[in-house]
Amino acid sequence: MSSIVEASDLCVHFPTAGGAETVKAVDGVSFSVTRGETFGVIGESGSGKSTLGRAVVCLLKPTAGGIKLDAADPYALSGAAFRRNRRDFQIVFQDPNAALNPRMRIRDSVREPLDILGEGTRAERNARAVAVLDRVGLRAEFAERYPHELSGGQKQRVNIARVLTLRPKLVVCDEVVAALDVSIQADMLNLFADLQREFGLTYLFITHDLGVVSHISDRIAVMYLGKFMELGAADDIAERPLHPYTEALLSAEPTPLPSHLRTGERIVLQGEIPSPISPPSGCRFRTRCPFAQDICAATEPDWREVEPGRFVACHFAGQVTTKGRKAS
Amino acid sequence: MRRVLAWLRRDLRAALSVGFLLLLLGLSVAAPVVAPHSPTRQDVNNTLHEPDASHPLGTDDLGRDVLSRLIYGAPATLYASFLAVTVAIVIGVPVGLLAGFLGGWIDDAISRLIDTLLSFPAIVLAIAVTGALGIGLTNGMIAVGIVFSPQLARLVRAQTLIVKQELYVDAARVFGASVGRILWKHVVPNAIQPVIVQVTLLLAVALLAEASLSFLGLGVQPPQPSWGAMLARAYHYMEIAPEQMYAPGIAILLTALAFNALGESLRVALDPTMKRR
Repeated sequence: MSSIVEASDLCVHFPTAGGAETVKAVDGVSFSVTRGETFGVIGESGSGKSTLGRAVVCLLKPTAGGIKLDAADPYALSGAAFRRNRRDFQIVFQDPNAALNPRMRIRDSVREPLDILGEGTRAERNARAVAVLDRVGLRAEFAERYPHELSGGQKQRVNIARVLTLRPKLVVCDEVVAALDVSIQADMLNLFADLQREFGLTYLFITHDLGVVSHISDRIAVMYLGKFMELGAADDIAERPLHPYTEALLSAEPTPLPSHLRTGERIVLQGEIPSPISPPSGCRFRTRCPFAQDICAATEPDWREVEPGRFVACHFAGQVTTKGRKAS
Repeated sequence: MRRVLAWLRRDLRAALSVGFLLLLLGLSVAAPVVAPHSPTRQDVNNTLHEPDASHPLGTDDLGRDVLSRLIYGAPATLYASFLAVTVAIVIGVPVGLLAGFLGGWIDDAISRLIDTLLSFPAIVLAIAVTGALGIGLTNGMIAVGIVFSPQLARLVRAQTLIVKQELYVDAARVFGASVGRILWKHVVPNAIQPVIVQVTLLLAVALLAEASLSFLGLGVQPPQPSWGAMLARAYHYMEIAPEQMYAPGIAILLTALAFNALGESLRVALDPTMKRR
């Protein structure tokens, strides 16, 4: 299995409004996404996960480190070749409404990627647009409408359809169901899963919702303040978190049981996520970590592979979970 | 088309101004048929005559029929307004788009140039340009258009800055769209509404600029009629025939008013935040 995305020590920094300081939205992240898998990235708001997704589709240029798409550096390409290369790496955004030009008919929006590539005649492109709309569950009559005449879920289907016209290799799904009604989230996730099988897609699935990500992902990366805290197989992470932050995230997940039957204790993190302008010294999670020791402030924990395919950035990985404490 | 008709039925001000401008356009085209006399035929025995049956608006200082000159002057006046505004659009819109979309030093350079040009009074620059290129309505109005262009450029730039942050622009980028395509398909359609409004307002200002230029003798040259030139002649006979100024003056006033009213109505009609009653 070859990797379709390879990030090595990827950083995306922004200057603040005054230009004096730097917002370290993504601050040294390394991972690779294997062809055909669903790679979930989970983190709270402000963790830099959307910035990461935008960097993967070249909407943001890395300020340091590198990104390889299909084993090639996209930024080594010339302007026109760079634009042509983008077709394989697409993104579906969180806000289905803002992603559609309000003055374009649905059909024109869906046809746009094909128009840009200039494949086939206009009639053929129209036919393909209508066909792909049909595939995501929108009847042909929607093609003539404008975005404001559609519901949020329908608009998100349109966004998926227009990405599909390109037959991309990778689709970054940036909080694709967060803006939708809970009642249609499941439908939409099933659609994503079906399309993955049908078109052989690879997903980079970004979300703040652990239920969503563990349902759909093969592997999960937990992101906090611009860095990965933990990375591993989805089941592994959910069953046996090694990082205190992952454990806190898992414990925050509501369980469909009355309180006296719940096994785990809910870990409530104190405070807010620190500012990405000046992240804490040492481990970035230490200011909110219930187990923080002196070493956590002094040295930044390495990103180490504790088991094959299982990476953690914590000095006490696996030793300091609440469950472990209770046992001792 | 049906939507435009529905709009005109709903908005009396818009209907009146559009009607007036269409009437003016019709008169311009049909001037040889509609005008009772030749606009340049002099009748020196009959100068500064008061209105009567054969000369409904009287005659001027050379005995020419005022109504005929007013009708024949309409095309020159409209031509001048549209020429100036077209020049302003052709220069201002692309410049504003590029400055807003590309940003960086290009934006800085263009913005400073806009600030510089904005400090020139339109008429003064127009006088300078006609001085350099030769007197004539076309030269004068091109100069007026150049002076107008920074206004449009600044407006388009501001709109572009807003639209370029929209998610659909990012989406188009990921599809591999070129800058030109993004500007044409996404930025222009979403940024153009306030520009349309501004254009109708500029038409009124251009009309007044034509009147001023011709009044100063830098625009339409005799014996060609134009409203500004008519006003300039009438000015010389203010003491003995003050009514001479009414016809061109009122024509200029009404046309400027129509352009302004149309612009204002368009602004309301195109703004989705203004609720329809």
